[in-house]
Amino acid sequence: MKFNCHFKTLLLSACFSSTLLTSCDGEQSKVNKPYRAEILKFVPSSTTSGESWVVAEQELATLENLDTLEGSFFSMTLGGLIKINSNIGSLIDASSNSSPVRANLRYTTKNGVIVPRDTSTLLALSSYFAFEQTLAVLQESTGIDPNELKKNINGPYRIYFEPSLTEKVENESAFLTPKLNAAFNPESNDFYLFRRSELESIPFSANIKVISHEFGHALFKNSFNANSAEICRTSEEEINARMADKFFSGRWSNEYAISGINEGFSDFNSYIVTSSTNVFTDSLPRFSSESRSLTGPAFVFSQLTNDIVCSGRFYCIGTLFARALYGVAQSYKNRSDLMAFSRRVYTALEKSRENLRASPAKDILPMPSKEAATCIRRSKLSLSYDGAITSAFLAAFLQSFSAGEEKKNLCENLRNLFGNYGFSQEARIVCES
Amino acid sequence: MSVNLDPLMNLISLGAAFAASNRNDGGGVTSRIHHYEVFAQSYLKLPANNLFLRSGVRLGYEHIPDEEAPQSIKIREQSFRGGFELGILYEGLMVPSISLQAGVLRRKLTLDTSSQITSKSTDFPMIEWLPMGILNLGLGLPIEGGKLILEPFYRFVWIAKDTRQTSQWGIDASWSLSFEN
Repeated sequence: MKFNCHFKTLLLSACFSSTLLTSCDGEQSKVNKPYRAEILKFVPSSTTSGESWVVAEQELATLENLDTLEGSFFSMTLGGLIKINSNIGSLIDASSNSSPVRANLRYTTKNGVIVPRDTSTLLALSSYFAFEQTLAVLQESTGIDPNELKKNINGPYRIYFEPSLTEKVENESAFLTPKLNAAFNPESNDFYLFRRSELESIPFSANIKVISHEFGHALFKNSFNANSAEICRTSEEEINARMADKFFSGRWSNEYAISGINEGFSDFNSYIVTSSTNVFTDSLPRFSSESRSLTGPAFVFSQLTNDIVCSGRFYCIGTLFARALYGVAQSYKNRSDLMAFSRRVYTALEKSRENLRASPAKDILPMPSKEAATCIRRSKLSLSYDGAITSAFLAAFLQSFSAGEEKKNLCENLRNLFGNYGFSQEARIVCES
Repeated sequence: MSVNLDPLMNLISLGAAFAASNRNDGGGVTSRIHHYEVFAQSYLKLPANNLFLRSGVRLGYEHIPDEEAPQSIKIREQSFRGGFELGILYEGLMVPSISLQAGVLRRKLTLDTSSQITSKSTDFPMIEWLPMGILNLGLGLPIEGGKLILEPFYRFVWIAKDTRQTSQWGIDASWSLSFEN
């Protein structure tokens, strides 16, 4: 009896073993392109109260390979270790220390639709779709052909989903798993979507408002930075030469005011893509981010030395710039007019780089400070120095707009928001032509 | 001093186990999973000295105490498992063992969303049945002359269609119940 009992156990174990050996992942390969998947997506509206988030079936139009998440314009990889050299806001100077793991998606299929089987897969697919949605607006909002942009960066763009970071701190390496943020690396054209957190509501990694903001940095690089990473790296010998050169390579990425303009343009890009005026409120509803909102509490440039008015440092300059653009955008009630304005903004940004080298902008632009020449990033606003830089930028920017109601409104908004410090009388002469 | 396990020829033991594992959620970050199990085992003395064949059945439940997930959306997993096991143990001062477990995991996937998300997929909840196999290495500590055995173990785990979890570690506690033929 004892032997029979054990024999039956052995037989049952063998049966289960054969089941294990024959089970397979066949379900994961039974989908054809174009892929359709259940994802989290944002549904925009002209009013904040009309916006919504839904989980619904959606086509991933540019995705070529589901199991590696590689597509025509984006390639998403899971994890990886990023070595941080420096960062300014959500712009990162970094390099990859290890090959990231290919996206290891877990899903099942129902009626040809991909249904995620875990949170990571749901968020990764939702992020991919958000990037696709952002790119879908590109030609309309900037005039750029996505294929042209891809060619400029020797693309596609790589997206690192939930990477870890390593950073040297006083000769020791610190390993970090950042959360509650996303970033763009202008040197490698990589996007980083950081780890999910219990503190966030709509995850950053799937929030198209955040993703389109980061994409705005990619567009700023392509336009104002003429597709250059503008990384500031210096040696002792170069400092004096740089202090005598208003246009030394790498200056713009290091200047407090231009970093702010970059953030502001990115917020405006997020508005154009999503019609939303606050990038973060859906992800961090409990943390007041009203000072970043395009419709938030009013403040002006001269108040930015007071952290209570706006604590976001150079982001505050960006918010003023974004609000000025938003103020004009509000006057366009139909989409095609709004997109035409967006294209003019992009073109003006593109031409600003050259316009800065000509009068009046060149004359307003101050010589680089010692910090700028040494690639040291200031943490505080200088009303006079940064005011002169924003004045020079705004003069260069506005030169591309044709005389008319739009330019008049934009000038008025900038005057009201930047005042005499940030939009000087010398810079305002461009408003008269 | 060796423990006399001869009475184990007619022995059934009942026990409970606790195990832990790290689940790789991607991005180099892991979630800790707790496993709670109950089991019944029987023993057969083998011809070789001090060797016993041990077979059994096991039921278990997985729990993730602190899953890191956004407040508004996640796919919640609830897993139960059942299976058979067969192994060999050596009677000595300690009781080392090696065994194979084969079973199936029943996992329920539920899409949890907050009020911020206004519509839901109709594909959830869904149930998956996943075959699984385990290679278990244990080292038992007999107590009370072998009536109670505490057995720390390490497991190599394979779950069909789920490579996030590949090992577990924990402890079995079993109480022997002898019986007459």
